[in-house]
Amino acid sequence: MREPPRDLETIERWLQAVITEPAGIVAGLASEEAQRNIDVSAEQIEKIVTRSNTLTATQRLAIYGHAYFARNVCAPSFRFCYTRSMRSFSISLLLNI
Amino acid sequence: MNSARLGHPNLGLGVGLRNVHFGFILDNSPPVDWFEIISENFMDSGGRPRYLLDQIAERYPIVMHGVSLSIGSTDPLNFHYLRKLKLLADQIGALWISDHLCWTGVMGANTHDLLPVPMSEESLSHIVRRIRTVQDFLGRPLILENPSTYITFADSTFTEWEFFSRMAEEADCGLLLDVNNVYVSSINHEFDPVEYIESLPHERIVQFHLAGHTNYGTHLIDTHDGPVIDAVWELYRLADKTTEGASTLLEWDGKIPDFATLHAEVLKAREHINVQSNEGFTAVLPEVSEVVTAAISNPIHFMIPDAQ
Repeated sequence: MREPPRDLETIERWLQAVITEPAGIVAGLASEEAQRNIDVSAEQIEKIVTRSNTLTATQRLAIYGHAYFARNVCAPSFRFCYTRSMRSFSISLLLNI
Repeated sequence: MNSARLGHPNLGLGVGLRNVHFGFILDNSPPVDWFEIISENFMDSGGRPRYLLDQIAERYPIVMHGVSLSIGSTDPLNFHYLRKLKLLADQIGALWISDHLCWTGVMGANTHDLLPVPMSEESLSHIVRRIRTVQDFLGRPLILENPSTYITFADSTFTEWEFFSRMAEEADCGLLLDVNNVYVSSINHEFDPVEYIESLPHERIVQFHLAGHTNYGTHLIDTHDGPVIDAVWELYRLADKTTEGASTLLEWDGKIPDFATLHAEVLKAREHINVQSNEGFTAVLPEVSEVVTAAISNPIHFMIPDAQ
Protein backbone atom coordinates (compact mmCIF):
# COMPACT_ATOMS: atom_id res chain seq x y z
CA MET A 1 0.00 0.00 0.00
CA ARG A 2 1.30 3.45 -0.89
CA GLU A 3 2.19 5.55 2.13
CA PRO A 4 0.94 9.13 2.48
CA PRO A 5 3.44 11.73 1.25
CA ARG A 6 5.86 13.18 3.78
CA ASP A 7 5.80 16.90 4.38
CA LEU A 8 8.52 19.00 2.76
CA GLU A 9 10.25 19.95 6.00
CA THR A 10 10.56 16.30 7.01
CA ILE A 11 12.04 15.31 3.65
CA GLU A 12 14.55 18.15 3.69
CA ARG A 13 15.70 17.40 7.23
CA TRP A 14 15.99 13.73 6.38
CA LEU A 15 17.93 14.30 3.15
CA GLN A 16 20.34 16.72 4.79
CA ALA A 17 21.02 14.23 7.57
CA VAL A 18 21.61 11.41 5.08
CA ILE A 19 23.99 13.20 2.70
CA THR A 20 26.04 14.97 5.37
CA GLU A 21 26.87 11.84 7.36
CA PRO A 22 30.68 11.38 7.14
CA ALA A 23 30.42 7.58 7.25
CA GLY A 24 28.36 7.43 4.05
CA ILE A 25 24.80 7.09 2.87
CA VAL A 26 23.93 3.80 4.58
CA ALA A 27 25.20 5.18 7.89
CA GLY A 28 23.35 8.39 7.15
CA LEU A 29 20.09 6.52 6.70
CA ALA A 30 20.63 4.88 10.08
CA SER A 31 21.63 8.12 11.81
CA GLU A 32 19.55 9.44 14.67
CA GLU A 33 18.61 12.63 12.85
CA ALA A 34 17.56 10.80 9.68
CA GLN A 35 15.59 8.19 11.60
CA ARG A 36 13.88 10.87 13.65
CA ASN A 37 12.48 12.32 10.43
CA ILE A 38 11.93 9.25 8.25
CA ASP A 39 12.38 5.79 9.67
CA VAL A 40 13.55 3.98 6.57
CA SER A 41 16.37 1.51 6.03
CA ALA A 42 18.66 1.12 3.03
CA GLU A 43 16.50 -1.78 1.86
CA GLN A 44 13.39 0.40 1.93
CA ILE A 45 14.96 3.53 0.51
CA GLU A 46 13.01 3.44 -2.74
CA LYS A 47 9.91 4.41 -0.77
CA ILE A 48 11.52 7.85 -0.58
CA VAL A 49 14.04 8.18 -3.44
CA THR A 50 13.55 6.45 -6.76
CA ARG A 51 16.21 4.47 -8.59
CA SER A 52 17.15 4.91 -12.24
CA ASN A 53 17.86 2.29 -14.87
CA THR A 54 21.55 2.52 -14.06
CA LEU A 55 21.87 3.54 -10.41
CA THR A 56 20.21 2.43 -7.20
CA ALA A 57 18.60 5.04 -4.96
CA THR A 58 21.53 4.74 -2.55
CA GLN A 59 24.06 5.31 -5.33
CA ARG A 60 22.13 8.35 -6.47
CA LEU A 61 22.07 9.78 -2.95
CA ALA A 62 25.82 9.18 -2.76
CA ILE A 63 26.36 11.68 -5.57
CA TYR A 64 25.17 14.38 -3.19
CA GLY A 65 26.86 12.79 -0.18
CA HIS A 66 30.28 12.60 -1.74
CA ALA A 67 29.95 16.09 -3.14
CA TYR A 68 29.34 17.38 0.36
CA PHE A 69 32.39 15.49 1.57
CA ALA A 70 34.54 16.74 -1.31
CA ARG A 71 33.64 20.34 -0.62
CA ASN A 72 34.41 20.13 3.04
CA VAL A 73 37.73 18.37 2.46
CA CYS A 74 38.79 20.58 -0.42
CA ALA A 75 37.80 23.92 0.99
CA PRO A 76 36.77 23.86 4.63
CA SER A 77 36.89 27.62 4.97
CA PHE A 78 35.03 28.34 1.77
CA ARG A 79 31.88 30.30 2.48
CA PHE A 80 30.29 30.46 -0.93
CA CYS A 81 30.78 27.33 -2.93
CA TYR A 82 29.59 27.40 -6.46
CA THR A 83 28.90 23.75 -6.25
CA ARG A 84 27.31 22.48 -9.39
CA SER A 85 30.66 21.42 -10.73
CA MET A 86 31.79 19.51 -7.71
CA ARG A 87 30.17 16.17 -8.04
CA SER A 88 32.74 14.62 -10.32
CA PHE A 89 34.87 13.83 -7.28
CA SER A 90 32.18 11.51 -6.07
CA ILE A 91 32.38 9.09 -8.91
CA SER A 92 35.48 7.23 -7.85
CA LEU A 93 33.85 6.75 -4.48
CA LEU A 94 30.45 5.81 -5.77
CA LEU A 95 30.96 2.10 -5.45
CA ASN A 96 32.27 2.42 -1.91
CA ILE A 97 29.03 3.54 -0.34
CA MET B 1 -0.52 37.61 -21.86
CA ASN B 2 3.05 38.48 -20.94
CA SER B 3 5.46 40.07 -23.39
CA ALA B 4 8.39 37.93 -24.47
CA ARG B 5 11.07 37.43 -21.81
CA LEU B 6 8.86 39.32 -19.33
CA GLY B 7 9.88 42.45 -21.17
CA HIS B 8 13.62 41.93 -20.70
CA PRO B 9 15.89 42.51 -23.70
CA ASN B 10 17.63 39.74 -25.58
CA LEU B 11 21.20 40.65 -24.69
CA GLY B 12 22.76 38.26 -27.20
CA LEU B 13 25.64 35.92 -26.36
CA GLY B 14 27.43 36.29 -23.04
CA VAL B 15 29.76 34.41 -20.74
CA GLY B 16 30.07 33.92 -17.02
CA LEU B 17 32.50 36.45 -15.53
CA ARG B 18 35.31 34.60 -13.75
CA ASN B 19 38.17 36.31 -12.01
CA VAL B 20 40.89 34.64 -14.12
CA HIS B 21 39.66 36.75 -17.02
CA PHE B 22 39.37 40.11 -15.26
CA GLY B 23 42.72 41.37 -16.52
CA PHE B 24 42.12 40.32 -20.11
CA ILE B 25 38.67 41.89 -20.19
CA LEU B 26 39.82 45.20 -18.76
CA ASP B 27 42.88 45.36 -21.01
CA ASN B 28 41.20 44.27 -24.24
CA SER B 29 37.47 45.05 -23.97
CA PRO B 30 36.55 41.91 -25.95
CA PRO B 31 33.35 42.14 -28.02
CA VAL B 32 31.21 40.05 -25.65
CA ASP B 33 27.56 41.04 -25.53
CA TRP B 34 27.15 40.73 -21.74
CA PHE B 35 28.39 39.10 -18.56
CA GLU B 36 26.75 37.16 -15.74
CA ILE B 37 28.32 37.30 -12.28
CA ILE B 38 27.90 34.90 -9.37
CA SER B 39 26.11 37.17 -6.91
CA GLU B 40 27.74 35.76 -3.78
CA ASN B 41 31.23 36.41 -5.11
CA PHE B 42 30.67 40.15 -4.82
CA MET B 43 28.04 40.62 -2.12
CA ASP B 44 30.53 40.62 0.72
CA SER B 45 33.61 41.74 -1.10
CA GLY B 46 34.78 45.26 -1.47
CA GLY B 47 38.30 46.18 -2.43
CA ARG B 48 39.85 45.09 -5.67
CA PRO B 49 37.23 42.51 -6.83
CA ARG B 50 34.48 45.06 -6.49
CA TYR B 51 36.62 47.79 -8.09
CA LEU B 52 37.20 45.53 -11.10
CA LEU B 53 33.52 44.57 -11.31
CA ASP B 54 32.50 48.22 -11.28
CA GLN B 55 34.80 48.89 -14.23
CA ILE B 56 33.40 45.95 -16.18
CA ALA B 57 29.83 47.00 -15.35
CA GLU B 58 30.55 50.40 -16.88
CA ARG B 59 31.36 48.72 -20.21
CA TYR B 60 28.99 45.72 -20.41
CA PRO B 61 25.46 44.73 -19.38
CA ILE B 62 25.59 42.65 -16.20
CA VAL B 63 23.10 40.19 -14.75
CA MET B 64 23.36 38.47 -11.37
CA HIS B 65 23.13 34.74 -10.78
CA GLY B 66 22.96 33.42 -7.23
CA VAL B 67 23.48 30.06 -5.56
CA SER B 68 22.34 30.72 -1.99
CA LEU B 69 18.75 31.99 -2.09
CA SER B 70 17.48 28.53 -1.12
CA ILE B 71 13.99 29.27 -2.32
CA GLY B 72 12.86 25.69 -1.68
CA SER B 73 14.07 25.49 1.92
CA THR B 74 11.64 25.21 4.79
CA ASP B 75 13.90 27.48 6.85
CA PRO B 76 12.78 31.12 6.95
CA LEU B 77 13.93 33.35 4.11
CA ASN B 78 17.23 35.05 4.85
CA PHE B 79 16.46 38.77 4.65
CA HIS B 80 20.01 39.70 5.54
CA TYR B 81 21.08 37.91 2.36
CA LEU B 82 18.28 39.52 0.38
CA ARG B 83 19.25 43.02 1.55
CA LYS B 84 22.82 42.48 0.34
CA LEU B 85 21.56 41.02 -2.94
CA LYS B 86 19.32 44.00 -3.59
CA LEU B 87 22.04 46.47 -2.70
CA LEU B 88 24.54 44.92 -5.09
CA ALA B 89 21.97 44.74 -7.90
CA ASP B 90 21.16 48.43 -7.44
CA GLN B 91 24.79 49.46 -7.24
CA ILE B 92 25.97 47.69 -10.38
CA GLY B 93 22.76 48.17 -12.36
CA ALA B 94 22.09 44.45 -12.78
CA LEU B 95 19.45 43.87 -15.43
CA TRP B 96 17.96 40.91 -13.60
CA ILE B 97 18.60 38.56 -10.68
CA SER B 98 18.43 34.81 -10.99
CA ASP B 99 18.91 31.80 -8.73
CA HIS B 100 17.90 28.13 -8.75
CA LEU B 101 14.83 26.07 -7.95
CA CYS B 102 16.47 24.23 -5.08
CA TRP B 103 17.26 24.36 -1.41
CA THR B 104 20.74 24.58 0.08
CA GLY B 105 20.09 23.60 3.69
CA VAL B 106 17.72 23.47 6.65
CA MET B 107 17.98 24.04 10.40
CA GLY B 108 20.43 26.86 9.77
CA ALA B 109 22.89 24.69 7.85
CA ASN B 110 24.21 25.38 4.37
CA THR B 111 25.32 22.32 2.42
CA HIS B 112 26.55 24.57 -0.40
CA ASP B 113 24.72 22.39 -2.86
CA LEU B 114 21.67 22.80 -5.08
CA LEU B 115 19.40 20.15 -3.59
CA PRO B 116 16.18 19.05 -5.31
CA VAL B 117 12.66 19.37 -3.93
CA PRO B 118 9.87 16.82 -4.37
CA MET B 119 7.69 17.93 -7.27
CA SER B 120 4.50 18.06 -5.20
CA GLU B 121 1.59 20.41 -4.50
CA GLU B 122 3.04 21.20 -1.09
CA SER B 123 6.44 22.14 -2.53
CA LEU B 124 4.78 24.21 -5.22
CA SER B 125 2.63 26.29 -2.88
CA HIS B 126 5.56 26.75 -0.46
CA ILE B 127 7.91 27.92 -3.21
CA VAL B 128 5.35 30.16 -4.91
CA ARG B 129 4.71 31.93 -1.58
CA ARG B 130 8.42 32.48 -1.08
CA ILE B 131 9.03 33.71 -4.60
CA ARG B 132 6.29 36.31 -4.17
CA THR B 133 7.87 37.48 -0.91
CA VAL B 134 11.31 37.73 -2.52
CA GLN B 135 9.94 39.59 -5.53
CA ASP B 136 8.12 42.06 -3.30
CA PHE B 137 11.34 42.65 -1.38
CA LEU B 138 13.56 43.00 -4.45
CA GLY B 139 10.99 45.03 -6.34
CA ARG B 140 11.52 43.01 -9.50
CA PRO B 141 10.66 39.57 -10.88
CA LEU B 142 12.88 36.72 -9.78
CA ILE B 143 14.30 34.47 -12.50
CA LEU B 144 14.66 30.82 -11.50
CA GLU B 145 16.79 28.14 -13.14
CA ASN B 146 16.27 24.40 -13.47
CA PRO B 147 19.30 22.77 -11.80
CA SER B 148 20.77 19.43 -12.82
CA THR B 149 19.53 16.81 -10.40
CA TYR B 150 20.65 13.33 -9.45
CA ILE B 151 17.71 12.00 -7.43
CA THR B 152 13.94 12.12 -7.72
CA PHE B 153 11.43 11.57 -4.96
CA ALA B 154 8.79 8.86 -4.77
CA ASP B 155 6.34 11.46 -3.46
CA SER B 156 6.61 13.66 -6.58
CA THR B 157 3.33 14.06 -8.41
CA PHE B 158 4.45 16.43 -11.20
CA THR B 159 7.04 16.22 -13.90
CA GLU B 160 9.74 18.85 -13.54
CA TRP B 161 8.42 20.81 -16.50
CA GLU B 162 4.89 20.78 -15.10
CA PHE B 163 6.25 22.07 -11.81
CA PHE B 164 8.27 24.83 -13.46
CA SER B 165 5.36 25.90 -15.61
CA ARG B 166 2.93 26.15 -12.72
CA MET B 167 5.51 27.82 -10.51
CA ALA B 168 6.24 30.49 -13.10
CA GLU B 169 2.58 31.22 -13.75
CA GLU B 170 1.43 31.21 -10.13
CA ALA B 171 4.38 33.22 -8.79
CA ASP B 172 4.54 35.45 -11.86
CA CYS B 173 8.29 34.95 -12.10
CA GLY B 174 10.72 34.39 -14.95
CA LEU B 175 12.64 31.27 -15.98
CA LEU B 176 16.28 30.70 -16.71
CA LEU B 177 16.30 27.62 -18.92
CA ASP B 178 19.58 25.78 -18.53
CA VAL B 179 19.60 23.66 -21.64
CA ASN B 180 22.52 21.55 -20.49
CA ASN B 181 20.73 20.85 -17.21
CA VAL B 182 17.63 19.70 -19.09
CA TYR B 183 19.81 17.27 -21.02
CA VAL B 184 21.73 16.06 -17.94
CA SER B 185 18.55 15.49 -15.93
CA SER B 186 16.80 13.86 -18.90
CA ILE B 187 19.51 11.22 -19.02
CA ASN B 188 19.67 10.80 -15.25
CA HIS B 189 15.90 10.53 -14.85
CA GLU B 190 14.93 9.12 -18.24
CA PHE B 191 12.55 11.78 -19.51
CA ASP B 192 12.10 13.41 -22.88
CA PRO B 193 13.99 16.74 -23.02
CA VAL B 194 12.05 17.85 -26.08
CA GLU B 195 8.75 17.50 -24.23
CA TYR B 196 10.32 19.42 -21.33
CA ILE B 197 11.33 22.38 -23.48
CA GLU B 198 8.18 22.43 -25.56
CA SER B 199 5.94 22.40 -22.47
CA LEU B 200 7.35 25.45 -20.68
CA PRO B 201 5.68 28.90 -20.78
CA HIS B 202 8.07 30.30 -23.37
CA GLU B 203 7.22 33.95 -22.84
CA ARG B 204 8.60 33.62 -19.30
CA ILE B 205 12.02 32.36 -20.38
CA VAL B 206 14.34 35.32 -19.88
CA GLN B 207 17.68 33.60 -20.32
CA PHE B 208 19.41 30.40 -21.43
CA HIS B 209 22.42 28.70 -19.91
CA LEU B 210 24.77 26.47 -21.85
CA ALA B 211 27.63 24.41 -20.41
CA GLY B 212 29.60 21.22 -20.70
CA HIS B 213 29.03 18.15 -18.58
CA THR B 214 30.76 14.84 -17.86
CA ASN B 215 29.50 11.42 -18.87
CA TYR B 216 30.23 8.76 -16.24
CA GLY B 217 28.70 5.92 -18.15
CA THR B 218 25.82 5.42 -15.73
CA HIS B 219 24.82 9.06 -15.39
CA LEU B 220 25.82 12.59 -16.29
CA ILE B 221 27.24 15.24 -13.98
CA ASP B 222 26.93 18.95 -14.62
CA THR B 223 30.62 19.84 -14.42
CA HIS B 224 30.90 23.06 -16.45
CA ASP B 225 34.39 22.05 -17.51
CA GLY B 226 34.28 21.61 -21.25
CA PRO B 227 32.61 22.49 -24.52
CA VAL B 228 28.88 22.16 -25.13
CA ILE B 229 28.06 18.80 -26.73
CA ASP B 230 26.10 18.42 -29.96
CA ALA B 231 22.96 17.05 -28.27
CA VAL B 232 22.77 20.15 -26.08
CA TRP B 233 23.22 22.39 -29.11
CA GLU B 234 20.28 20.56 -30.70
CA LEU B 235 18.13 21.28 -27.68
CA TYR B 236 19.30 24.88 -27.68
CA ARG B 237 18.13 25.18 -31.27
CA LEU B 238 14.70 23.99 -30.17
CA ALA B 239 14.67 26.36 -27.19
CA ASP B 240 15.64 29.28 -29.38
CA LYS B 241 12.90 28.44 -31.85
CA THR B 242 10.16 28.01 -29.27
CA THR B 243 11.04 31.20 -27.38
CA GLU B 244 11.95 33.28 -30.44
CA GLY B 245 15.28 33.93 -28.76
CA ALA B 246 16.59 34.89 -25.34
CA SER B 247 19.84 36.05 -23.78
CA THR B 248 22.27 33.13 -23.95
CA LEU B 249 25.13 32.55 -21.56
CA LEU B 250 27.96 30.00 -21.46
CA GLU B 251 29.10 28.78 -18.03
CA TRP B 252 32.61 27.35 -17.71
CA ASP B 253 33.81 26.78 -14.14
CA GLY B 254 36.39 24.00 -14.22
CA LYS B 255 39.53 23.76 -16.40
CA ILE B 256 38.73 27.30 -17.48
CA PRO B 257 40.24 28.09 -20.87
CA ASP B 258 41.64 31.39 -22.05
CA PHE B 259 39.09 34.03 -22.82
CA ALA B 260 39.31 33.65 -26.60
CA THR B 261 38.41 29.95 -26.35
CA LEU B 262 35.57 30.69 -23.96
CA HIS B 263 34.17 33.39 -26.19
CA ALA B 264 34.52 31.25 -29.31
CA GLU B 265 32.48 28.51 -27.64
CA VAL B 266 29.48 30.73 -26.94
CA LEU B 267 29.68 32.23 -30.43
CA LYS B 268 28.90 28.75 -31.78
CA ALA B 269 25.34 29.53 -30.71
CA ARG B 270 25.04 31.69 -33.84
CA GLU B 271 24.90 28.49 -35.90
CA HIS B 272 21.82 27.37 -33.97
CA ILE B 273 19.80 30.56 -33.73
CA ASN B 274 16.84 30.91 -36.10
CA VAL B 275 17.28 27.34 -37.35
CA GLN B 276 13.99 25.59 -37.96
CA SER B 277 14.88 21.90 -38.02
CA ASN B 278 14.72 19.79 -34.87
CA GLU B 279 13.67 16.46 -36.22
CA GLY B 280 14.45 13.16 -34.62
CA PHE B 281 16.09 14.26 -31.39
CA THR B 282 16.45 11.45 -28.89
CA ALA B 283 18.23 11.74 -25.58
CA VAL B 284 20.15 8.59 -24.83
CA LEU B 285 23.11 8.06 -22.57
CA PRO B 286 26.04 8.02 -24.97
CA GLU B 287 28.59 5.26 -24.72
CA VAL B 288 31.80 6.30 -23.03
CA SER B 289 35.05 5.08 -24.48
CA GLU B 290 36.94 5.83 -21.31
CA VAL B 291 35.72 5.61 -17.74
CA VAL B 292 36.23 8.91 -16.00
CA THR B 293 37.45 8.65 -12.44
CA ALA B 294 38.32 11.11 -9.73
CA ALA B 295 38.27 14.11 -12.02
CA ILE B 296 37.91 16.94 -9.57
CA SER B 297 36.81 19.67 -11.89
CA ASN B 298 35.40 22.35 -9.73
CA PRO B 299 35.68 26.06 -9.35
CA ILE B 300 37.24 26.07 -5.92
CA HIS B 301 40.71 26.57 -7.26
CA PHE B 302 40.00 29.82 -9.01
CA MET B 303 37.66 31.17 -6.38
CA ILE B 304 40.04 30.47 -3.50
CA PRO B 305 43.54 30.29 -4.89
CA ASP B 306 44.98 28.74 -1.73
CA ALA B 307 42.60 25.77 -1.74
CA GLN B 308 44.33 22.43 -2.22
